[in-house]
Amino acid sequence: MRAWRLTVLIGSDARVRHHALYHELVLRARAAGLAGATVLHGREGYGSSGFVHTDRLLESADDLPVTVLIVDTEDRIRGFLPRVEELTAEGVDHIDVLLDEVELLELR
Amino acid sequence: MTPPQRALRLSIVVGESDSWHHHALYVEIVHRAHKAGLAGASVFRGIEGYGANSVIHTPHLFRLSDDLPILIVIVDEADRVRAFLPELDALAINGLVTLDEVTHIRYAAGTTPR
Repeated sequence: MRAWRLTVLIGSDARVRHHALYHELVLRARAAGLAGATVLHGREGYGSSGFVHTDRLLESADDLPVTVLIVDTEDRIRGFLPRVEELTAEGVDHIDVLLDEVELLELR
Repeated sequence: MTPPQRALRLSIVVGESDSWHHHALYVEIVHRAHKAGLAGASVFRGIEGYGANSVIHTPHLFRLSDDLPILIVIVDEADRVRAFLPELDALAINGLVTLDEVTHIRYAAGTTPR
């Protein structure tokens, strides 16, 4: 079946409601009844700040890239986007999300 | 929210021990992406894997905790990503390089309707 993949690109130090933003996204995904969520921790990268964070240098090892992946039906992913957007009204400066279509296989 | 925009995602898989002029190849790729002004790059390390790359640099497989797969993900406007591809040729990357189209949305503080 056709499905949508939501990829959220954030930093590991981003916080909201006294915990990590990636954790809040997982909580919200679960509360919304989405099929699942996976959090991947990066070791190096940069974003809109232009500063390269890396685990190779102690002084730059903060705020490493984190990706949250969620795959579900188009409707459910679309329905979840406002729950992501509203985090920017709770102190999160910005959140970049990527959407793409994937084919979901149900293997039994 | 900015209007959804089409973007291109460049995904590159190399070995952790692949090197370029005495430093890690993935570091060089991030450095070049940064220098090229691409919007962002993220590096993830796999915990196991193998690939064509490993045949060249190690006997058969990524060795345990030695030459693990590294995934570099770069997302930007298609033109900018494609303009960056010659840099990868210059680095003679033997790993897996894929491009796929994505929709990019940026939610920014102060623009959220409440």
